[in-house]
Amino acid sequence: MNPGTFELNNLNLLRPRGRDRGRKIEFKLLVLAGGYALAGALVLYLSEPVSGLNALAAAVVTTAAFFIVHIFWNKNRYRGDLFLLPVTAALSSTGLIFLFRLNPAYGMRQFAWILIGLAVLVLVTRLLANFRFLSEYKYIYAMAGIVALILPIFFGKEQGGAKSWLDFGIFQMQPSEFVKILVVLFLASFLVENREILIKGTRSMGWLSVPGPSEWAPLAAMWAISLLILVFQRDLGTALIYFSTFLAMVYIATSRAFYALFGMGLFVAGAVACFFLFDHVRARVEIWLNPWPYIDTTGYQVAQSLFAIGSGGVLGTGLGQGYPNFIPAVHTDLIFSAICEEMGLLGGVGILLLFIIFIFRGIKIALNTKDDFDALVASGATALLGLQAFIIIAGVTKLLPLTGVTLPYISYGGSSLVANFILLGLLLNISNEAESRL
Amino acid sequence: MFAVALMILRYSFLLMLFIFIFRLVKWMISDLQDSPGHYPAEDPAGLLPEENMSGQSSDVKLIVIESSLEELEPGDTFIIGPELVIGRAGGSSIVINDSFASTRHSRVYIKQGQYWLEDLKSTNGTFLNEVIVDRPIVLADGDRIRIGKVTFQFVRWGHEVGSSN
Repeated sequence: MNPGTFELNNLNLLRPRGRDRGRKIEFKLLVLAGGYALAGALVLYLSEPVSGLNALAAAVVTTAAFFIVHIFWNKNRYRGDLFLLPVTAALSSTGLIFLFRLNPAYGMRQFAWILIGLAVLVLVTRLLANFRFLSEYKYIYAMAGIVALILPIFFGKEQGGAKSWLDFGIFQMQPSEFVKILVVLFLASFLVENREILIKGTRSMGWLSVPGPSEWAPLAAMWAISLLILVFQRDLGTALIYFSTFLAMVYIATSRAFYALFGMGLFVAGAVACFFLFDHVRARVEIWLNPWPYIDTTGYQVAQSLFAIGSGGVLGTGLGQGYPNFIPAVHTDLIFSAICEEMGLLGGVGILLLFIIFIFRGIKIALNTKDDFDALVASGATALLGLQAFIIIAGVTKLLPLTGVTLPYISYGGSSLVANFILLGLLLNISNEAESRL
Repeated sequence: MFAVALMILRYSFLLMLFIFIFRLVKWMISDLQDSPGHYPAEDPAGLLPEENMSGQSSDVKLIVIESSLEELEPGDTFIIGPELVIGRAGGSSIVINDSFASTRHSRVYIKQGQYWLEDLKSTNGTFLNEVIVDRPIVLADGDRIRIGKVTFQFVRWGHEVGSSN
């Protein structure tokens, strides 16, 4: 054993417990989130005792699973953020209840995916607790990401206008959901290394100092490639999320408004080009501007979503009392409309508040850490989840053109759920690291 | 009767969501208020025998990296014992003989296995990484302490191997 390791072990033993209030707050919040899930499941059970029994059992087991994760962390003196797990529990319970209400078969599968997601979360917080080594492999992320995006173009299966699925027989996978994580990790490790040069620039163009091609070219190339691939997959929502996360992270790393404005300019140019080049893009925009002439064809989805949200009113029709099944894809992308119909404006606002709290904690974690890589991963993961929630909620309420992405933690979909639990694990590891350093 | 009970239960589902959010926000606010952040509270369980630390203290030092004074030159190194006082007074561990330093300006000390920097109500203030020190704060490897025109770097060997290089 060399002296260095001895020193480190010694320091770990001597490290003060600091704020050692344990995870009591997390426990209490999980009790409330569990009560919420059980109330919903009980409604389903009482209104339809046959299929509702599964929902009740799933809600009980899911709540228990969240408690097991909590107990496991408590035992291991894990010091990650106390509020993120309860918020996630409330969001995924909402998803579970609504999926059982919409279609019990989806509910059962979502239930299994939540359990898998929690197992992955525990593994991430256990195995990747010292995640700094992740900053070493940025070009591996880039390569893996590109391969994962290319595969579905050749071997993929088309669903809902987007060709982004891989079929493995018993289950299907959407690689672009996992590439999200690689995007955050690649950008964080690349920006940490080249931050200074990107801030200062090495040459001047008139009043502007810009960095040399060796700094911006890898970024630009990555982005051109992944956006092109996504255009070929026709998965516009995911492309939008990647691009906005990219801009957010570059701005956070450099605090230069020029990059953000330049990126937005590029985006507008790209959007205009897509509008004229691709029919499916033009159709989306026309529906967004005015869905009513297309109400029987392409505008049907948006129109049904608006009817559902409108008929919910302030308090909603009550769980199980609405007709959300008229909305196409209500179990994945448009689940927010179903929530608004049956829980009303208040339910929708509640879900938005949960996402806002999630983003608030994420930004707080990013601000609390002293390491640049940690801060960039935390803010990137937060920006990604926040933007994804914003883009789909804005889509179903017709604030933005509707693009198909999932509502994090709520929508049906295994890939999306597991990928989001991995992001949650990274956020928690970063806060664990910052707290343990004290 | 059953229908009414079910109705109540339906709305209590919505109510539960808001009770959850209300408690969440309430505890988050109280977390912000008493959050010690970089200033952890006293904790009896964390009290450590200070002797254990003195064995390592030879590796903990302040290095002068910038100085306007002749008697302190960049590269000068001061080992931190259990306590180190910086000031104009002759008895200080590091003497800064200039008008911008107060008699007892600031001190570095060991508590719970950590090194802390405290400003001793000096006139011109102590800066940690260019942020004024207004209460005791934990030092990390590589931190820069500035008093007037003299800057020290805090070096703790073997601490956080990853971040120091």
